[in-house]
Amino acid sequence: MTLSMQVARKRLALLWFVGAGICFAVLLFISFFARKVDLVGLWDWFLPAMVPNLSLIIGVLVYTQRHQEQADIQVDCFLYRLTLGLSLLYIFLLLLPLLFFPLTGKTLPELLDISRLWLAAVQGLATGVMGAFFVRQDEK
Amino acid sequence: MTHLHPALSRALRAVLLTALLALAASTVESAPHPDVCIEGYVWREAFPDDRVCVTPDVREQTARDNQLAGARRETHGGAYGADTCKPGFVWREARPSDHVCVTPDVREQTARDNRLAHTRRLMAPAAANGAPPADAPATAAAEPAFVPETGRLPAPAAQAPVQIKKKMATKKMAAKKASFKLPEFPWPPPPYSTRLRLDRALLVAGQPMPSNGSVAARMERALAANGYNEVSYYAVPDGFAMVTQIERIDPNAAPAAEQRWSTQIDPVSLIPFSIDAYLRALLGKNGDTFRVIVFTFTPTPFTTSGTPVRPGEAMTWVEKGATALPAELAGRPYGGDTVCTALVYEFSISSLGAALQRPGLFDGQQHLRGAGILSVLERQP
Repeated sequence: MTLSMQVARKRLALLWFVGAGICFAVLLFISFFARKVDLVGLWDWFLPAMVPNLSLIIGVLVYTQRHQEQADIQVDCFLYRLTLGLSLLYIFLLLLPLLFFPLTGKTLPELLDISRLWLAAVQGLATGVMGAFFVRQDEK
Repeated sequence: MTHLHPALSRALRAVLLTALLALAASTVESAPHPDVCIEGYVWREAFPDDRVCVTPDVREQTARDNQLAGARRETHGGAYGADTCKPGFVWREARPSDHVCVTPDVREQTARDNRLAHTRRLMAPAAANGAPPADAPATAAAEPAFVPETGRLPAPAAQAPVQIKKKMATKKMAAKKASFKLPEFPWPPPPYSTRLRLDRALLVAGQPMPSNGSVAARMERALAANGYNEVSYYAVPDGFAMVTQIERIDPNAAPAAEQRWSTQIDPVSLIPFSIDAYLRALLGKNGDTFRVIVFTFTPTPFTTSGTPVRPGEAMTWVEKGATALPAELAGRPYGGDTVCTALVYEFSISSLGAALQRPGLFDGQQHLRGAGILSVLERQP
């Protein structure tokens, strides 16, 4: 079973931007209303985790839009579902410390430090499979 | 050359000798006795020239034991001669020849006082001039040999190798003690939340010749009376510092009634779940105030380093300091220009982390009075 590359890209892009938006909103809320928080550390944790992938998505989507003469490629559904699953997992692991730290008894900076352990593993996998969809494909 | 009359010459020699002796005596009298005790301690006087420093209670107990010595010996002697004690009593052995009969706990107390003697003297002990006389009170160097409850001394020949080993071990320990250096407190100190200069009278009250050790002991007692059982020592320029452990405080700057020594923040409970509690924790409004107090004793004025201390680092100050002042530093006189300044580091710890509060919520007077330290110092004679 196959799926159109354009459709797959759009769905994945939507997932990433919605997930990043939720994280961004939570961080903004904390930045404006929280007391005595290390804002630099907080944003320093979030931005490198999201911005590179979002930049890649935006870049490929813009390029594809400009070169609409390209034939629409079909991609394997299995690969699409794998990419979707890993992306969902990655975004969930990003949101986990931000939303659940009040329930753990650990401070937010402690939890953000610990989260780098599992984010590093999943980020590599998610970025890797994203490369199957968000890469420039020139005509030969 | 003029020759003096022999009688006149003898008289002149006698006068010169007397003058020299008087001068020596006055020099000796003006110098403080090397075995003067620090504040709170007195000479035990278990026997003449017994200069081991003990608490007044122990001194009174010793005097009572001396009075009752005769009543506690076997009337007709025993296996150990005329000094054999009645059942239930043992030789006190404040010195090897001390055969006053006492209870076993008094004997243990006597041995403990002998071991700690050097830490309770006002000035450095005479050990700097060589070994003490053979019949001098036992110092921290001597360990009491095991003696059965009947008070019999072990055979001297069996003790000799043990005593030699003990003396060698003691010399090594003394060398280690002499070479011990206090860890250095970050200097200039990191920016603090508030500070308070303590009145000298509070620290040296009732002490005609205060030393660093006596002042530190007085401060330790004031801290211990308010629950500060962990105090660490650091070196600062020309003096020393005492650091308390981090503690949680209430809105009145008094120690918190619950979880005083814990820096943990309670998590929001899931059952029942409260949105209000969750949002307060999310925004860091579930925090408490904590403090660390650093007492610096130095005549040198100081500023701050300008680099704020990380809360995690301040929390470990009490772990990284020394447990006591070295004897050499403790024995030094407490200078007339030495100033004690309490530096209070106030932290806010919430679910969003810890942060130093500058300026603090309370001033130095409020902190030390809330902690109960000032009131104890004012009360103590």
